[in-house]
Amino acid sequence: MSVESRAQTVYLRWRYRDRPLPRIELGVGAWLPGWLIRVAAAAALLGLVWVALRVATDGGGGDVPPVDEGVRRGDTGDESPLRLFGAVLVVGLTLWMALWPGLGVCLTAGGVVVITLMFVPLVPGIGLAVWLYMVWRMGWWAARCQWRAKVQWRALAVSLARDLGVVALTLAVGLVAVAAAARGGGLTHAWGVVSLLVGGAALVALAWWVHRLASTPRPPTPPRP
Amino acid sequence: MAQAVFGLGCLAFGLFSGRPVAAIAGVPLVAAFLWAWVAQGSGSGPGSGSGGVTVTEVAAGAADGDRAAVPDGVGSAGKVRGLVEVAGMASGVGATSGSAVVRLRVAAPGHRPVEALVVPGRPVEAAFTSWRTGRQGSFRVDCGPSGPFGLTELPVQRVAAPDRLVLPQAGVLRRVPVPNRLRGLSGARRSTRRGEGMDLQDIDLLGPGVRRIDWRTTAKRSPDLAQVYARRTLASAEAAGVLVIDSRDDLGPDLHTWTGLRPARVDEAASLDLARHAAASVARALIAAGDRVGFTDLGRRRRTLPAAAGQRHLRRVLYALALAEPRDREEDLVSSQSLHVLESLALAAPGGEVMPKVRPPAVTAGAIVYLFTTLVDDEPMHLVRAWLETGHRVVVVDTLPPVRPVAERNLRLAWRIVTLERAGRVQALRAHGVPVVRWAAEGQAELLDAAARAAERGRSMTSTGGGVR
Repeated sequence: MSVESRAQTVYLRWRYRDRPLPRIELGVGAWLPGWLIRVAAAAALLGLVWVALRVATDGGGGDVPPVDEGVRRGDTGDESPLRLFGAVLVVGLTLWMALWPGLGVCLTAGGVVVITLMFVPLVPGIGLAVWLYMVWRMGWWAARCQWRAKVQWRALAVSLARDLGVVALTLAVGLVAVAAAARGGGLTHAWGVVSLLVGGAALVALAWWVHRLASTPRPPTPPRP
Repeated sequence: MAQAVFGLGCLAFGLFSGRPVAAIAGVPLVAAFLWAWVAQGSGSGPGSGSGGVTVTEVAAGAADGDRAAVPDGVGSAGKVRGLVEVAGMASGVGATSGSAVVRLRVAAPGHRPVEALVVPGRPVEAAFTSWRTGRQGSFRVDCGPSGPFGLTELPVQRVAAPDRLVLPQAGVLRRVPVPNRLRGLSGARRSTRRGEGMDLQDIDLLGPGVRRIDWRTTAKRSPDLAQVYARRTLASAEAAGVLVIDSRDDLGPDLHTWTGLRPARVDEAASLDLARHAAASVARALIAAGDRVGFTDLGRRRRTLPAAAGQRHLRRVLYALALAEPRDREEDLVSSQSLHVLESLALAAPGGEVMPKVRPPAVTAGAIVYLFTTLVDDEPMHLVRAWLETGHRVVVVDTLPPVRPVAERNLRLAWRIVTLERAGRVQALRAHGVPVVRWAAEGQAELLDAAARAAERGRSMTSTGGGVR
């Protein structure tokens, strides 16, 4: 085939390309596009991990020392490998959340943040904990909507109301912890008691739920076409 | 569950490491789990309760809020609306804690599916546009309900609205050609024979078989009543037409769909849709004029619909038109004339195959035949010749839609061959005095009107003129 005929074929293929199939119109009321949820989740995760790493390495004041400078610099005395690792971690988790949101990225990001919380003071740590929870919830929403999906604003609002309630409870617990820390002494002991109580109740609930899940017969799943 | 386990892990980690900040990270996750568990209720397990989903097609033209379902699954071409209703889940997941979240995926034939995350309990309106007629699919909905905080995920439910039978819309035609000879002694048309009708033929002396005395003419010409004059009228008659649909293939504007391997788009009419529309329009015009209409489908060996008149019969004809469709797609792949055309371009055509012959259907004596076909093969020519030889008047309606240009050289060449062959057939038909009306072009009503006038001129030249002898 000559060059001219090949170019003509390419031009004709572009000119007479297939039109995309029409879309179904769906009336859900006020809605947000799915890509916005995914972008917001990725942006929130990016901010969370970056801030957590920055606060952990630079320190936020108080009596919690940041990551030791010797650890940061390592044997070579150069901080750049650690910064590079941090950058790769941030970018990787952000892309993971944007492209394949789900439980995996939430668990990974949660693990990273919880480790960094070891080097973060109490007050910014409470903020990071709340931020982590919001990222977890946004990840749940992002995992269930495609880029072109329609997310009903009413569904978001109802879920947001519940999430704000959880955030309020978390802030209340945090305030209790801050107040205990301000009093001084016995913080670890008091916090240990609180953790035991809350954790114990959650374990009981989890065990009961798993028992019900195992004992309740599930309807058969339809065969795949 | 992973959320709760991670939260417990954070609490334990904070407890054993002596870092309250790490434990606080687990508080919201555990709190959300406890909240969802309480909201679910003590009497139900995570697998119980089901958000029932139903999808209903709404009648065309229904106002907002009107949920009248389409009767008997019969729809119309154009915008198709439906309502997707997801009931709140049972036993407290949705009822006591507020709404859960439902993931919907709505699909329809020939359309890109759309996904949405909604709250159950309020119907969701869906709509798509389809210009296809005959048997068509409708909405299909996949529904995946979730509990609060995503604690529970119920199995995906798949429901589909019943298939629709889309009747063709009949257009308005002024006049359509009628048979050369009208039959019967009653009807809405004027016959050329003498009989009991409303149209005056002439005024002659009173004689046998003449009953209506014209006293005015008698008083003028024979005041003494020596001779009595009477009016002679023309009988009324009716016309009979037979609609013959060539449903052996259904060709769309896209040449890539002619082999049957790729489905035709639903937002553009194919040849069978044009044929149904044309046949419905002609049937409506004939029945409105008081004539009788019959129907035959070339593609299927079915008993023909006998000619009859009236609005109920028109409805019967529309249903028969909607049910006329090509046979199974695999058979179409073997016997489709479009594939025969592509085989002519050396696409591995086995030699010696005989295309199935189409036997001319029985046509009422004296009826006019309307043949709706795409003229991509020679079978319509044989049929027209057979009908002309038996003295029937034939009108051929070309139902091939405008074909879009393609980029592939072999397809362009194939289409050029098809175009030349069709032009030859049209020319041959017109040479035999058979009018050919292209339905996809503008002005098809005017063409039929012109053919009707030409037919009337031909008929009036053989009839006797009116006057006084």
